[in-house]
Amino acid sequence: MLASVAPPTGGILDLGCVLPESLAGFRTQAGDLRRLVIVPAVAEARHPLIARYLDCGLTVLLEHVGGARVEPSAYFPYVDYSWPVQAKIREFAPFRLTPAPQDQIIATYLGQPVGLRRKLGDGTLITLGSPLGPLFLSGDPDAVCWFEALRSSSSVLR
Amino acid sequence: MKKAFGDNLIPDGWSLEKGLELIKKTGCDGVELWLGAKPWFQMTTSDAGVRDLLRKVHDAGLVVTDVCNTLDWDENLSARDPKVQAAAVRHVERQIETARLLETDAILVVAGLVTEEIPYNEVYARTKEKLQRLGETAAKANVKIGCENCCSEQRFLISAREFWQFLNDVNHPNVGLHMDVGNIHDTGFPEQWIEIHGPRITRVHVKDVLRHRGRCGQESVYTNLFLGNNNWPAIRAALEKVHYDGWIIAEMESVYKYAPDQQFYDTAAAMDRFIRGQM
Repeated sequence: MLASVAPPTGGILDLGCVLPESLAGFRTQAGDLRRLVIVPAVAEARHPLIARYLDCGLTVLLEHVGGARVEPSAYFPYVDYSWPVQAKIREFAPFRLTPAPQDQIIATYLGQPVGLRRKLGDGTLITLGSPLGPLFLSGDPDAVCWFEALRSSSSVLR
Repeated sequence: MKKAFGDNLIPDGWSLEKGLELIKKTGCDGVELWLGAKPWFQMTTSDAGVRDLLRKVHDAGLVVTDVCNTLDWDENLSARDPKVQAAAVRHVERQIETARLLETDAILVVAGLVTEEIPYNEVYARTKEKLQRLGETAAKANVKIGCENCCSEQRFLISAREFWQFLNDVNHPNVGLHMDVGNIHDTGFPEQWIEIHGPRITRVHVKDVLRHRGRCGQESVYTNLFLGNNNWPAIRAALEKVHYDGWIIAEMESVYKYAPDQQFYDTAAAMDRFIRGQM
């Protein structure tokens, strides 16, 4: 777990995780996170610590499980990711995200945005409305692949 | 993905040539041949007869997708009687031989039947041992054995995880799953089976199923694509997720009381939309 005073290295940051499986799932993948900070399953997306990590040029992966859920008329099992690699990853009760003009939509569920990427200063904020962490516990290979790609892309110093 | 029909759906009384012509007319690229189902392909059919079958398939502008059989229900690898076991091994070996002759690389086997007399653990051990040996035969012929998930009918390997563990125990690269997305109905969801088995899927059978529609709500009923309870967009997405790009083969009961050829046209149109993802 990261200390409250942010060093310029990655890690898992518990800012009040509301989904224990997500925290546990990311712990199985943690290893060397390089310059990637993971904030598992929080209901509130704004926190001063996040801004500090972004200011240090790190990538922050934020799972935001608040707001309105995407309610399909007929069940569909996958979120479509387009960045950093294309992948179909099993949905986990996805929340709809509202993109700002500077946001890149990196994941959709039934056409609704559930993953955003935004450059903020030297850092990058990745917001996911569909938690990824629990999928590591159920062994979704595409979730692992996607996360590895993100880990690699975030290791590049900006 | 490419679409095909099994020759077992060709109406009784039709010739193979007439059936193949119909399959081609529906826009299919392949035909699945069932050992034991029709007079033109039996255990008594010689190698020359099998080559003649292939010629007729090619003359119709088709290829053979794989070799199935209807014999497993009477002669199963899991039988106690050594004579029945030997007969089961022999017809699976014949499937492997004919797969080579028919220029395809896959066969379908219903591996293991649990009955009141032959309990699950006995079926498990015997079927595993037989498939390990047959896997070697198949490897030499460059053929894959796809064990079909007949779930409720077999009373064996009912769930996706059981099937996955079974294939792990068989542990042979030439033994996988011939996935039937219509056979899961009461015991799970086909899209989840596809995800779990991914690269082990040798071929895909399609039909739809109306769950629990019997008089007392106790029976599921097979039907045509898009008429039942399968979640077809989810099945299509799962196949894409596991990068399945092989044959989609209609294997279903003849349900048209009149104009049986119409079932082929309707099913082919549904398969086209399934393959295109337009649902």
